Order: sequence, then structure tokens, then C-alpha cells
Amino acid sequence: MKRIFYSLIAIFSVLIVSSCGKTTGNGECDQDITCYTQKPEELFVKLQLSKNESDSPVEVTFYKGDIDDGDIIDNFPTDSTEESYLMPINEDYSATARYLEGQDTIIAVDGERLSAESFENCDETCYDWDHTIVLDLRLDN
Amino acid sequence: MLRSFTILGAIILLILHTAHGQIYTVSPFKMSYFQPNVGLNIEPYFNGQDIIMSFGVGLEEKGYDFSSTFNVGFRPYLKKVRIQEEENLFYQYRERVLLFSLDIEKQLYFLEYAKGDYNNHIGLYAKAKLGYMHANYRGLSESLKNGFTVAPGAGLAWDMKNARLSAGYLLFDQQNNIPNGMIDIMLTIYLNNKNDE
Repeated sequence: MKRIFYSLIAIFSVLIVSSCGKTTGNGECDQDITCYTQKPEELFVKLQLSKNESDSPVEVTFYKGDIDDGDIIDNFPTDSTEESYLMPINEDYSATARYLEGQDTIIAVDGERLSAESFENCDETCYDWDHTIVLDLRLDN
Repeated sequence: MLRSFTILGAIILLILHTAHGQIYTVSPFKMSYFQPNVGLNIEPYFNGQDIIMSFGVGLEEKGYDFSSTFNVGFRPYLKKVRIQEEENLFYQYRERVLLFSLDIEKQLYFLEYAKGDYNNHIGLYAKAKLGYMHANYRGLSESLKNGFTVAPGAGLAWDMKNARLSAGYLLFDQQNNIPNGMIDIMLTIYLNNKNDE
């Protein structure tokens, strides 16, 4: 009984520790890490897309906010499987992609908040300028 | 379906392997006196397209062989689901699911064998999850699915001295394109078992 109990605690401890984000830990200092101390004002939002069965263009709509109460930023047809936007941080972004599958229309939806990511190194706050959010609008077949 | 039978077969083989003593039949309706225990459970239910993890705590009654527990279930990842809006129009969302449920289960044991100072039991169970389901969708400000749901299930139960392992079928309608039939495996650990018969 005790063995099971301690095993469960060990498993949960490993899960909690492994769920931590990018950090060098409290008080740690790695001089090899490039540290950008200026907070970015804009970062990339990447849209991942599938192709239509008929190779016709996919109609994409990009929103600031959610698709049901946000503002349309862009609306366009595309043959590409990836599109990117450089957008201001601290906003929610969402997008839809309209696909045709035989007689059916599939509208793929995704959204996420674009925030700056940071970590502590050598007692400084470093910002990740490569941080990108990905809106996955690919069809799940 | 084949996968379900394979898992159930493996469980039965495991039970027979540990049963050093003689196995004999007992009436599934035999009852003893009230023997309440507190139980903790972990319960994954899954099929080829989805998995929900559930954790619960509650009453495990070993005299009358029933349990009543409060469970919280969740999908540990974002899942793409399709919801039909109208004829020939489907929305594909990335979904998170939370299910708060009161799980009521009755065990009917028909086999018994001695293991140390305790008689283990093997039998069937029938259960129902009475719950409130909440789903979140990325890119939407409001949830499309908030509401009460009932998920019935049945299968094999193996009662041991400090734990019960059960495996069976759960009918869980998530109101999307994921099949409703799921394999349900649950491990319950009794916290204050006095080992009474």
C-alpha cells in the first residue's frame, strides 16, 4: 500500500517538474545564452494550412480576438500551407480556413493569445524574440 | 472491439495467475454488513481516437458492493473535433474537455478465492457517470457544449485486499465526431480498509 502511495507521489513529482517552462532556474547564470533584455512589441503568428482536395485555393480569414466577436484583419484565398503575420503582442488572435471535401464544407478554427515569453538568466529578464504562436488550421483526417 | 477483448483477456489471465488458492463461485447478490471505505481512483477511458483521464475520491462500500465517487475527468491534450453546424457544413475546432461527475457503481461478484488473509472477488460491474461537461474551443469566446450528461458502463471487476481493478465499456457521447464507445479502466485504492469479510 505504502509502495503504491510513494510511487504515485514520485510519478506526480516528475510530471510537475517536467511541466516547467524555459528557465535556467533561480540564481543560475549561463554566460553562453544570448539575452535580449528589451521586450518585443511584435511577434509572429503562424497559420498552418492543408490543401483542398481539388487543389482549389483555401479561403483564410485572420482575426484579432476570437472568430465570434473579433475584428477581421485579413481575408484571402491561398494555395500555400503556411502564412505568417507580425502582430502586436498581448492580444488574442484567431483564424479560420474553409475547405471543400466532396459535397462538404469544413471550416477549421484555431486561436491563441500572443504574449512575450521570458526567462531569468544572470539576474536579468531575457525575452525570447523567436517566440511564435502557431494556429493549426490543418484538417484532421 | 478486438482490442477490448485482448485487454479483458489479459486481465483475466492476470487474475488466474495470482489465484494460488481454489476459486469458487459465490452468489452475486450475497451481502454483508455496512463496511464503508474511502477510496481514491484513477480512470483512463479511451478509444482509437481519444483518451480522457479521470481522478476521483469517494465512498467504497465493501459490504453491499457499491461505490459512489466524485470524479474530475479531462483530456490531457488539445483534440481536433468536428461538429456539424448544418447539412454539408462542419466546423473543426481544437477542443479541451472537462467532466465533473458523480460516479455510481454496483459490483456483482460471482467468484471468490483466498489470497493471504483476504478473500479476493471477481465479478461484473455496472456504473453510471452523472456529470457536467464543459468544453473549451480555441478561437471561440464561448463554449458550445456546457451541460449535463449521463455515461453508462459495464465490465469486469476484480476486488483485492486494498484495491479494485475494473475494465469494461463506457458509452460516452461527446456530441462530436469521436465514437461514443470507449474502453474504461479504473484502479481504486481503499484508504481505510479494515479487511472485514
